[in-house]
Amino acid sequence: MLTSSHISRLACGLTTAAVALTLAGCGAASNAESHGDVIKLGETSGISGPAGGYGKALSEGQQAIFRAVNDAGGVDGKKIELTLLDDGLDVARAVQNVRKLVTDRNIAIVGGSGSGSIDAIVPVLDKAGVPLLFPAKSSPAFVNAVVPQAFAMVPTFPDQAHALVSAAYEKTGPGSVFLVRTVSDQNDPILAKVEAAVQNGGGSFLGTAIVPFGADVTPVALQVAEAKPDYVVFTSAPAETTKIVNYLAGKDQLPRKAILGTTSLPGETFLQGTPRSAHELLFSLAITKPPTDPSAADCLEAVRKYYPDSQIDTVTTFGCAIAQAVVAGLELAGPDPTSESLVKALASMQDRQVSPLIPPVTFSRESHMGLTSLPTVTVKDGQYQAAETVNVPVLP
Amino acid sequence: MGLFLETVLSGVTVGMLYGLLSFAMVVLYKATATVNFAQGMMGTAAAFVALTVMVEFGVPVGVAIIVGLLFSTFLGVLTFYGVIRPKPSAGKTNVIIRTLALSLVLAAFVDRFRGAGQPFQFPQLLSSGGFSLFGIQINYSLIQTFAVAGVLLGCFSLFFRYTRAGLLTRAMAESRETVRLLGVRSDRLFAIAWGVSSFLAAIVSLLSANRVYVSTFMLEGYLLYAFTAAIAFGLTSLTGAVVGGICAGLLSNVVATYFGPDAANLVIFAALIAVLVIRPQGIFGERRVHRV
Repeated sequence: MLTSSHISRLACGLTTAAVALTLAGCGAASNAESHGDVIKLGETSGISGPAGGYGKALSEGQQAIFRAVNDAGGVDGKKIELTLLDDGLDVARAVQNVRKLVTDRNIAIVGGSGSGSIDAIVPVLDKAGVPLLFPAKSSPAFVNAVVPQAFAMVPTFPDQAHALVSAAYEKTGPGSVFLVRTVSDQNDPILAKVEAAVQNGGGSFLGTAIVPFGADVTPVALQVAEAKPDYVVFTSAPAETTKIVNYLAGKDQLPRKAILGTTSLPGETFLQGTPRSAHELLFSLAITKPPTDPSAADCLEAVRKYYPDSQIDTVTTFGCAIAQAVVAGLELAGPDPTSESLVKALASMQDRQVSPLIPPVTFSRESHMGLTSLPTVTVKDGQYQAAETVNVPVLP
Repeated sequence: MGLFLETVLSGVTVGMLYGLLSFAMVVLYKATATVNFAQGMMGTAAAFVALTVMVEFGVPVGVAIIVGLLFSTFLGVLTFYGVIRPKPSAGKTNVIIRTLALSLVLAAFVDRFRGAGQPFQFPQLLSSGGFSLFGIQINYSLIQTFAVAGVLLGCFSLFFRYTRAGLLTRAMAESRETVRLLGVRSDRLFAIAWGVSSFLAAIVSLLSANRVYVSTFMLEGYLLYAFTAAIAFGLTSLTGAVVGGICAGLLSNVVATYFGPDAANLVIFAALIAVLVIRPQGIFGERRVHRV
């Protein structure tokens, strides 16, 4: 007959076994290898819920490219198998997903959206020895501090803002600048770098305002209108930027020379939500060239083939570029890529054109942030058009 | 000076919306003694319904707005009969928790079916643009808000003063038991109050949709300020609700423009604490005397 002490011992034994198996699983994944004809990649991203549109568009771009590569024979004859888990931008779910993906012996985790989720999974992956490749995040803490297993693509917002002002001054001459920011841990560096760029370029800095995500933008819009700047730099979220620009346009108080945006701005929200008068003023950094550019042809073809209902935009092309960069890394990593060989392959890339959508990338042991220049976009006839490429150096 | 005047004007405009929402809460509270934490989501649901019929069925914006308003009114009545009315002996706390749960259910429902791609832009009913008056740019949307809010508040003022249903609702607020003893069907009055309250919340969401965009929590900030106004100016005063909303809009806008959005929240909620400490029944509220 089972007594309570039998049950207690059984429970202890089962618990110990479960812990041992879990630890063994984590240890075994520390240099995950591809097996057979498959290269296993994983992704945790927010593809459901209010912010799910971004993650969904990103993953469709990635998966379309991977499927096109597989249809063409794969990488060294091996097919890429991407397992996408939805975390709904919930940090706890993201960590849980990553632990599962690591246990399932994926050799790398690719892409992913959600700033908090990305921050949370980096130490988990670092400990497991599994690389995180090109998440949708730009942050000094993530990018400049070299995390051995993480590779980023997008320059930080402070560096972007500095480069944007410098490029705008070169293009249309120095002038007065007003800065609109969102609530972020990068706010102080953004302000410092914009002020430095303005001073270096011989312009004048009129002021700054912070607009929290989802807040009423009228007070900020009034401040911008009152300042009457030549340039307005926006590092706020696209919806808030669009509302402010719309308000200014409605009052005929748009900036005199340009609306300057970082890589988060170019998208359908701004395009559909602002009038032509604002379109003519836009000069924005973009992660990739726009879907209208000839360089996006492969990406568009793949997305239209595998995801015919997809609304293709700049997030989709970013997804394509991520996948193309991953494929380039796998090709360099050798016939049987492992986590370790993939990291070595990426770290060896010097000025390498991994995707027609982005400038060449360079990684090294010291820097895992690949892009030091970015394309810019303007708007013509209601569509984004590629403009010049701007250098975005990493500044101290 | 121009910035200050524009700030005051936009503050009063958004304050009218806070006032409408606050009015809706006080209408319900006066009639049913219920604080409705689902007020914001009931209005938000109307905006999503209007948006859906526009996008899925190509309905013109004016017709979509009417559909949204009708839906919200129906939702209010349905909420009374389906969520509030059952088991009335459960107590006030139980009923308040039901409204909180309803708010979460509506939010989850909206996220489930229209979550991806938020926030959504909403077309204007009137054309964009405006005119200049004494150097201040006045948009047509501002006039629209003033006109709609003013007409509605005027209509409801007449409703509560000169219609049978309105007078009975006011009587119910004064003495529920007396009205019941006189044979008045209180359930119908409650249902009307819930319908009116939800209708007003929908008006606020549809008037603000073009400005704040349509998202699950589009009225969250509005609800917080409206609730603050209702509490500070008296949960039993309809006039206080409107005046309180306008004051909240004015104060928050001016402080946010000159000192930032965080400062606005600080000032508003500090003011709420001060009012409640000095005059617990609210500025326009009536002190209730309970005789033992």
